[in-house]
Amino acid sequence: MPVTLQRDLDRRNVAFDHDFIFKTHRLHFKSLITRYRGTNCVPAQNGVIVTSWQKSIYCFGSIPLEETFVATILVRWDGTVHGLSLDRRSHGGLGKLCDFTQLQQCMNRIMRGKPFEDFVRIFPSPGLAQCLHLHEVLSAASSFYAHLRVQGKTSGSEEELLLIYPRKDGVYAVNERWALGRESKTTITLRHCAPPKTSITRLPRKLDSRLQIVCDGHTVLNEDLKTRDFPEVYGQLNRMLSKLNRVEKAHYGVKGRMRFTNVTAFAGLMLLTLAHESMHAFKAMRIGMMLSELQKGGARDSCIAFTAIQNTYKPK
Amino acid sequence: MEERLKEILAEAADVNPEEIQSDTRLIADLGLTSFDFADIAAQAEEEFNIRIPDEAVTKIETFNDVLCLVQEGHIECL
Repeated sequence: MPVTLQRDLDRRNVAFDHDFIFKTHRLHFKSLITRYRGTNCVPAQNGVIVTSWQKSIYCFGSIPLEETFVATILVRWDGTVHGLSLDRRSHGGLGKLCDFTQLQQCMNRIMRGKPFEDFVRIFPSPGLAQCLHLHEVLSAASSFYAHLRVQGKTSGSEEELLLIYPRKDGVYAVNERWALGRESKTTITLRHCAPPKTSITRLPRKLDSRLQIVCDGHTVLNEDLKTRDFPEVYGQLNRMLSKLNRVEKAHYGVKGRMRFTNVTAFAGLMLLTLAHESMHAFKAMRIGMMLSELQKGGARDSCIAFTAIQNTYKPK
Repeated sequence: MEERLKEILAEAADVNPEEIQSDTRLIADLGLTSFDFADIAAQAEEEFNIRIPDEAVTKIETFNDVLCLVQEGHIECL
């Protein structure tokens, strides 16, 4: 399937017009799980306007579910935060807990006057930011902004699109990335040598598979993945994917932690796909439990706030 | 070994190695995630030629826990 990113972020007025982020699913998203994210930095009179977004779509059951978050941060020339705003259309599905007006106020109260690069130091845990997804968006934005500063730049864009499909013999993922004029395309194939066994929550525990990661035509990894329990599945998969992370860091010349990436979410999303495939019928409650379990990896706070897409699109 | 391990963690957390103390909490203080834990374990295994079980990785809380794991793995591999 051809994958097309927007790729014209520099020409768009992304800082003030987020419409394309909310409309994009009509163009591309027809796989089981999709994650489209990016960051755009443009210089303004008082500093740099950083716009960051993340859109996840899950085509479980008959109704696609989505989470879309867009944050705009004005960072002064000295690197401190002047203000932060969340697009009003960004929201989760947990009612009061996903009250973005409240989240915006909280973020502004804490971040104003602080170095934006220090976002993860200020909010080391997503729980402190009160929203796992907002934490992901802002830590990615902060990381990309820091990367630009290291390079002495005040403007630049990055975006990536991840699609995950189940196959008869496993799971296939393709991630296309575009950052600062460089591109890369990664395919990940998890092929089963024996049918996977799942736990009572339907998360995979016993795998006898082979994982192949190919980045821009070069094989990064091609190894067996044999596991006995879920922590081992999650841990082994992440260890394998960390090799891809190192390749990407080298490709884009990133020093330190690269938080503007989908790679860190690959393991969870691939396992969610496997879990979904093992279900005989769609059960929203069970999907919610699986998401929660996956998000708790590393003792993090979980969130299952997603909302149904309000349009007529139906997955094939 | 301890100094090198601090360097690996410092790179994962974007901090100076001097900032990492034995009681530094990897999630609460450094903002590391399960992906970072797996990456650190993979790097430590390569670097020190040891094996760190995934189950043990899930129980890590502080830098000292990582150091003990690596030292234990090192002893087991001798």
